[in-house]
Amino acid sequence: MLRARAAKKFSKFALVPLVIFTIVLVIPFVNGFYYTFTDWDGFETTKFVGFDNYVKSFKDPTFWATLRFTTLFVVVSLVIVNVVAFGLALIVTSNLRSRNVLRTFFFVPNLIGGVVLGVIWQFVFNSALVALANKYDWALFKESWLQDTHKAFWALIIVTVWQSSGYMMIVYITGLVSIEQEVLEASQIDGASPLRTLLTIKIPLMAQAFTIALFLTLRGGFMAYDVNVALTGGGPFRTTELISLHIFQDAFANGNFGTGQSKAVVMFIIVAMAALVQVTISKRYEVQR
Amino acid sequence: MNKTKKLGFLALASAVTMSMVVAVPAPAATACPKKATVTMLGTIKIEIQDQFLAAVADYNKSQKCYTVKSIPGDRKLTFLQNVTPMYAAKNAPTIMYTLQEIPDMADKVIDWKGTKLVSLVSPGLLAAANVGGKQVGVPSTAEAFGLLYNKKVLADAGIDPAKIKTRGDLENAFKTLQAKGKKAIHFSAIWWSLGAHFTNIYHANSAKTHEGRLKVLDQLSDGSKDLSKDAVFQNWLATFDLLKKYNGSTANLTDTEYDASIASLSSGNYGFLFQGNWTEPNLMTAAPGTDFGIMPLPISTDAATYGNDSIPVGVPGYFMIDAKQSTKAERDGAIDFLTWLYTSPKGQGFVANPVTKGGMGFIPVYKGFKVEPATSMARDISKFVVAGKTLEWINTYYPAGLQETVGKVSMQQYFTDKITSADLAKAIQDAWKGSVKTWRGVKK
Amino acid sequence: MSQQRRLGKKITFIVGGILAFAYVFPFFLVFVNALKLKPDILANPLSIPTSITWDNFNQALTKMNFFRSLTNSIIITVLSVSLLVVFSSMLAYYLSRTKTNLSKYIFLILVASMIVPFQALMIPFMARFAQFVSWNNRGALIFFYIGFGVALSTFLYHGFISNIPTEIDEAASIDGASDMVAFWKIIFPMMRPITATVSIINALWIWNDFLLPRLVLTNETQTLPLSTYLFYGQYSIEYGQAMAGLLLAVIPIIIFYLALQRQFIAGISAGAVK
Repeated sequence: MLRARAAKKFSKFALVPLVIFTIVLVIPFVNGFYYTFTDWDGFETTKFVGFDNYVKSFKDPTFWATLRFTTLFVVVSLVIVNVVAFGLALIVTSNLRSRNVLRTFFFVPNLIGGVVLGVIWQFVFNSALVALANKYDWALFKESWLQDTHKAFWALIIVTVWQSSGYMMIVYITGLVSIEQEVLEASQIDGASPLRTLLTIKIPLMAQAFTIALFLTLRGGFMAYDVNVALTGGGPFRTTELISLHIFQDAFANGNFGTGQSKAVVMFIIVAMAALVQVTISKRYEVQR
Repeated sequence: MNKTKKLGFLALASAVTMSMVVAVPAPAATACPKKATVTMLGTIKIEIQDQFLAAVADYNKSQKCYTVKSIPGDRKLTFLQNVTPMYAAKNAPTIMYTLQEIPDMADKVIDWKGTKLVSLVSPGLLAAANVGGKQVGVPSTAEAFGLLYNKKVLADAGIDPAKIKTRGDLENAFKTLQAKGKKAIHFSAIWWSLGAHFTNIYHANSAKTHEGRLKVLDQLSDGSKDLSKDAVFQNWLATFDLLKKYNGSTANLTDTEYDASIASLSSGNYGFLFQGNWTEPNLMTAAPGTDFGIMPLPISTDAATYGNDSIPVGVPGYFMIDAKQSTKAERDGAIDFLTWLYTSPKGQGFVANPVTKGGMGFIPVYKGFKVEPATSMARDISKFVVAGKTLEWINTYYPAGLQETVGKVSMQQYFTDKITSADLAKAIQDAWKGSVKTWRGVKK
Repeated sequence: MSQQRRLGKKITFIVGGILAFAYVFPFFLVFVNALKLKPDILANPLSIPTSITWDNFNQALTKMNFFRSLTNSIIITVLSVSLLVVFSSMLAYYLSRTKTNLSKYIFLILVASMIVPFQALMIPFMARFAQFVSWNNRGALIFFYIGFGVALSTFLYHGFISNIPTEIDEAASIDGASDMVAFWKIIFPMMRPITATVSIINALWIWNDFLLPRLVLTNETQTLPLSTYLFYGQYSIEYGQAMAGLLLAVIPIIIFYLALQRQFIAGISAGAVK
């Protein structure tokens, strides 16, 4: 009786999205996993090759270099994006009269996707900043940032922050406004300074927003592709290839579908572990209400 | 399952019918039951995209059986990166246009043998698209690369390009330009220019015969070639250094470089640019009324050395037609469109007229062209072709991914002084080592 | 106290203003250069156009087949986002309220799936689907968007629903309302802020997506962002036209965002009053 009711509820609320999810995502994923053990060439498979593709992947020094570069990118972008986004959210939820305009401005970069965004920023780094630097003699920008591995890394970070901080700002706004007004009023009556209210009341009460924003930036960092392709294209000298681009290159440019797919599986495992750790830790800080 | 089998049989049946149709000329203007849509991945290239699309529109109006459509590709991806997912999606384009990846596509496309177009091209220009006896593609045009120059700038400086016969002469010309307050050369760091074209200067000069040049590729693949002991390679390196030394622009490794180099040469501040004649439409748009020429890049100090007086001429791309996922009507339409483009008076106008007159400015490679090339660079190339002073495009035989590996990494590193010439030689050898000898017809 | 507040407000205003400038400056560059000819753009990207040309916009409108592409984009985005909101809010509600191992595992799988890189799925995905769906089909594309988007949307809803007290469900069921009615009449309206967030996030992703539509759609059904790629060549870029095309492609989504933003603010304040 109870079981039948549970089944009915499941079929009403969960069945359709789960079926679509399985067809679109789960089955191809399992399929791709299977392909890593074969001599798949993107079109067909003829035989099993065991762990050959994985062995080859781990023997590839560029794969390791890419993993290191990606990890650095994820850590740095995660910190900066979230600090900036939280700051923006505070500005935009303050009693400033221009807050609505500001919020729209901060969010605008998000409205644009992929390659187009990269072209704009290539334009800024390669032409606009260089032109300015030559006019005012700024040594820092005289050579395009995209031609130097270290500066290109920071260019990637700047564009990533520019693009995704507005997005995370929205998540933090949702968190900030979900705090009950009475709680804030109570703390104001107690004479708490704004900073103290922020640290002891607001942040703990909106821990969930942090969980979501951190998760999204972590995931976004590991999966970053559009900005990478469009801005640096992996250059200079293929030193700024993030993992997604590396996999794409391996599979499609060099025709190594087997190793490309196995690197994707390795990447999935790394990201899964990182995300699991992050969500577990963040969830611990969430206040149960 | 049953359905798939049935579809497979249908595809096979239509493929068989197809080959019969190709062998026997199709009867003139038969009625067609349903208008077939023929898709093409991208266009020939962006520089002449408007003109090509205008030709397509004109063709679509001219007959009732087919509609030709161009599907935009992703410019950040190579041809193969674009087309592989489309094949996997059973959504392959009917017409495909490429050069480098022809061997990869050979088993998926039709054999052009016996068609009208093939009968109109010289065998030399068909060779690069002949895979194991199957003619998998037909050429679009001939192109050349070398030293481009601004005719007015050189004339004003009193330099006669015809008299530049050695690397030493070239350096003197550079010095003269600088003395006149001009910048000598815009040496472009674009990866494909370095990885495909500049490396080809070595490969095309590496031996006097086609076989000899392929042997160099064999040795590189086997790992038995020591480039540091190769005199031609040393000349090539010295030329690389020379162009770097007199480069009037700052190294730009990014996508804006192509347009920047066009701006330089057309501005009248620069004498030379290492590029190809595909830049001519861009140059003419940027500086109307200015003439640009093309000349060899002499790498030896001895004028009599093989190749010093010649320019690399080749076919930039071949049209291929899918045989696996298209219908017979679509394939017929594809052949009909391309035949119209190169044999009908209107199509020929779109092909060979200069950009300023709405054409693509191509150098005709099919016999029976009524339209003569009208631009100055095209005429220069014709002269080299007539005099037999042409070099091979060995870069056509590079394995997939090599020009990227070499061009984006070691060549650009050397260009920006990140590595020594010994490092460069070793990096090139390493990139070649173990590559499958596709130039010998070996399958990957 | 109040003086300190005023100073704080001033600082916030100045910092906010500087940041806002930094955030929109690239768009200003795009706009300025859309009004210039290619040689002027290359010569100096920062210069203000001496003579304004609208030619880039005319060219872009025709080449992109603007209104047809716009219609396609709207149809695909609106349908995908609506269905995603319906399916994922219900799924999240089910998973958060049904405390069984099954729902725990389903939730875990959904979370895990969010980190699967699309590159890893693309070819196996296409190879598998080719047999079942007819391509060049907007319906198929919407189906895929639901499949790819349901995990993140459910995750966002799940976090929000956990904060809605279960007493509200219980009160509804005592009143005799069925599960469905209780959800749509009582729970769903309470989730307006997160619904706005989910809608915006998914709309932006779907509107700007390039790879998937290119695999599935052809010219007649192509989306707006897809059409802006016409200006990027193998070698050369038509900067002026590209900038104009980019602006044309962005204006609809800005309007969409501004329209939804009002609802979004309403949702936020409703949440705050509660």
